[in-house]
Amino acid sequence: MTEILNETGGSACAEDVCQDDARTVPQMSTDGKTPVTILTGYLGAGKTTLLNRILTENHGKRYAVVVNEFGETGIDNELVLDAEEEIFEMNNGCICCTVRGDLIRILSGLMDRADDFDGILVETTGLADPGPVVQTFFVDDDLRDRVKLDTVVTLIDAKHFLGKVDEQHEAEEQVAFADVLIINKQDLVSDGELGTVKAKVRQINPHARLFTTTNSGVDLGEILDQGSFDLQTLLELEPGFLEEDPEDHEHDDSITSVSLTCGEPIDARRFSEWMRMLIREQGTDIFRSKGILKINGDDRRYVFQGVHMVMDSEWGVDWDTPAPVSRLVFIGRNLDEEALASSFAACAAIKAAA
Amino acid sequence: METDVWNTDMPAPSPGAIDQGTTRLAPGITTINTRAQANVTRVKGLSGSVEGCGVAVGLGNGEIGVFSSAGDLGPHLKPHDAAVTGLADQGDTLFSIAQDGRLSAHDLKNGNRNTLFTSPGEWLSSLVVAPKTGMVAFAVGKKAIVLPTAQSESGAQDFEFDNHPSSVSGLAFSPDGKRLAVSHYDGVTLWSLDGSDEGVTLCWKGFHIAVSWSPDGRFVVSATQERELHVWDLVTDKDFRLGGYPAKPHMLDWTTPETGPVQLVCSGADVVTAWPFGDVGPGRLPPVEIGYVYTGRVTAVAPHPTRPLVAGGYTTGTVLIGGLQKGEAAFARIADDETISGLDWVGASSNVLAVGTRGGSLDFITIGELRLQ
Repeated sequence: MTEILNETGGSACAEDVCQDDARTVPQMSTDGKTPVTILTGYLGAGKTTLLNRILTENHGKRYAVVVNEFGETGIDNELVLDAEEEIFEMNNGCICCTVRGDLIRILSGLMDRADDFDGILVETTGLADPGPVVQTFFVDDDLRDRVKLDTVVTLIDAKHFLGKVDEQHEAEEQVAFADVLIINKQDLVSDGELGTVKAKVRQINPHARLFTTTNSGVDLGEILDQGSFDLQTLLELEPGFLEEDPEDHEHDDSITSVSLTCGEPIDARRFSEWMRMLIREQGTDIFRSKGILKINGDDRRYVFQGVHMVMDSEWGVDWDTPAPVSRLVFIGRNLDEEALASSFAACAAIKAAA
Repeated sequence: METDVWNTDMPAPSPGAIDQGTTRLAPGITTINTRAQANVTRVKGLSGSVEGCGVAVGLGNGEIGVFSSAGDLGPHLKPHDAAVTGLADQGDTLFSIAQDGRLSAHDLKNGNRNTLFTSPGEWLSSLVVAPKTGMVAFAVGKKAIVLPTAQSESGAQDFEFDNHPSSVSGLAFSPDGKRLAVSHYDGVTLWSLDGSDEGVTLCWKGFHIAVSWSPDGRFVVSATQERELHVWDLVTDKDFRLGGYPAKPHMLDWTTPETGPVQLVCSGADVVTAWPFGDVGPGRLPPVEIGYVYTGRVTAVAPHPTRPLVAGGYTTGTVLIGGLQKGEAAFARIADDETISGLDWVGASSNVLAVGTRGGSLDFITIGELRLQ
């Protein structure tokens, strides 16, 4: 089901410290699709506090909110909707095509009253695997037409994170999926403990933007309407979007990030075949992937991103540097950096021709 | 049960490939354009006899407008506080459900309104009225609720079916009105409305998103998230798949027997697909494909009640009217990027097509002496 290099794009199955008083107004997108922000994190990490801030602060935007534990927000708002988590494994039995049917139903229904709000927030339960939630936005046609996944925000309880992360996969996966990481309740730990939490979080996901807060006090302008899943946004961030990974990789089954670069133009067919094979064999373990490529024989930037086995891709504007460098990043479990590096290097057109 | 797969090979729509400047409306088409107060969520042609009440239009703000076939606004109803999610009629009564948890019945003759059900904070969906018995059914969460109406025989009891594995996604009455089909995760459950059984589940692993019952009562068809139709033949106990859709085929409808052998009409592809069912099902026959490629993706369908025609509305705002035998088609509305959210035939001779869009346009299209190409 994977089309890595299709002409039209589309989907397929493949340290900042925040000031509490800083407030900026989130700017809404203009392409007509309603942005959706996903809030994940363990119970007690501060999701409800953040939700209440978004719903009550005077930023001039209206949000519809989908929650899993109704009543917890304590806000009387007809746009707060209760979702009973209804996970659905698609017919092909592939875990990576698991979606949340309740979200499809509720978000499609919300779009029948789209005039009532500017954006949608989806809160997941503390124990939820973010995969099905994120994948839902890639695989459902109706949602793709009308809403766009904006950002995955993960809240981390500074005090309890280290105790959970080694026991429960979900805690680690919530960090791996994030575009924005908020280490909350920093007032409850020492500087040393906070440093250890940061290092662990960065080892899992070095690319997300990181904030440390008290009372979920992050500037809302830093988390709402960020366009994190927008391929054009990814292009604008290039080339800085993939900084080098930390060197101290642990070689166990924990989640890590691998960044790869290639200074030679990439052979489209080779790359496509390699990605297909990779996500078929390791898609379950790859949580997020992103890349910007220089394709041999094409002047345009080729940009893609994926969640497990589902991918979005499109062509961007022309490269404007004399020696374009292709970059890829994977965040996942059991990633073999050397093997990935050598198989990516083999996609260079000069190697393909040899 | 046995399973077969028949695929038609339909290319994915490629938006923007149609040259809007060269698209022409079919000769004889005249259109009255109006604007609604909000996005149109439902369009339902009315079969009653009240003058000036040709079609009901439900909106995202909870209002309902009733219009004549000439596009004149008749009764303007405000029964709901949130988006209208279903309209159905029987005789001169219009039923409506919404995201405010209410089911209302409007008597179009005398203007009276009754609230038949209310559950604040919950969304009602999948409104259907039973032929013959006058029972009305809708879904709320994992429950399907069946209620008698003024048209039902006295003493008719209500039912609440809640033994479903997920939220209810679709409902359909059997043609005799004695059974209710409920779609959900991994199948469709058939409930008898005399309380005589515990429900019979037709199993097929999948996320079923809509259900429909053939006019002869023989076939139950569901649409799935996996972009297929699943068909159960209740006579032979066989089931089979109809696939090849580039998107979810969630609008299902049937042609009437008066216009020829019965066909199942549905959305989801870049053409309207009409599967030949006749008396025995499609066998290995392909569907008639109505329309042109590259006009977008079909989001709404409406078979004509008396002529062998079908109307199809697209994501692009295009509306086509086509012949059910050969698939020849004519443009009835030109693309304007307003996704068609509902359409239905209106008027005594059903020569008007009412079309609503997500952007709030409401058009009344008179087809006149339609010539198809």
